[in-house]
Amino acid sequence: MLDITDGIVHVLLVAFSGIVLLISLFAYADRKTSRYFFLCLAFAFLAASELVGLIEVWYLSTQLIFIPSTGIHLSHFLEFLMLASFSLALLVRN
Amino acid sequence: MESESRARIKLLVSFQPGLHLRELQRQVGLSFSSTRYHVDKLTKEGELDRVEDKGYSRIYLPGTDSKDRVLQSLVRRKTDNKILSCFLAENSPTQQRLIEVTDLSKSTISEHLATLLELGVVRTRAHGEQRTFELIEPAKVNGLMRRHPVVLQKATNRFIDLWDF
Repeated sequence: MLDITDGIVHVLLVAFSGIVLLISLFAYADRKTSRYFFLCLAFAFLAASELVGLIEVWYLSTQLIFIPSTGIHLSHFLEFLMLASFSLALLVRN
Repeated sequence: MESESRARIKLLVSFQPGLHLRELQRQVGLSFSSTRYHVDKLTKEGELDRVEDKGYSRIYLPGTDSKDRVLQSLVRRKTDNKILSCFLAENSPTQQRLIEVTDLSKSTISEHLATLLELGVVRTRAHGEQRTFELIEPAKVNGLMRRHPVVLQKATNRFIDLWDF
């Protein structure tokens, strides 16, 4: 059963992460350095993770999406990739 | 390397006349002192003009018409940009309409309208008891405004600043 309030929160999460992704893309277009590339990547993974969360809530009645034959929750894997990208953005020389 | 940076600075100024030094530094991707050094050199060599404008050091290509400089500077100021956008959307607004659309105070609108009239950017017409204002060169202002999606540009600049270490 879809909880409308939770659904709205997930829609807002997708919308805001999309906006931040757009801004990071503009920043990368402006600077074209590896740091801004990894930041774009991180925000892209965040937006993807939020989108997966929305699909789980909206279409699958909160059933989780797993990566086939690994047992890894897709949303968690995307969050891991996001954190890895943020770490790389912090570590690379600008 | 030096000539490459200077060529980039000149290119950026040619696309965005009236850029201020800090904004130019962000876009060129050098340190502030290096950017200022290159701009000073280019100014001394007569390849750029630097004009002090209300606390900002604005940079133009040499030979830019003084009226164009005024317009280029106005569209880069937040409040004037808001008022000019209203002129473009409303054609000949009254002062009251400007207040309603921009959500600025009456005193702010009066002050900025007086400046715009003095600079010859806007003229006024009397319609009975009402006075309307209109842009003298709307096409020119429109062309300059379209180059600056202010909110997105500001957000992008802040994002760049946040991660620029």
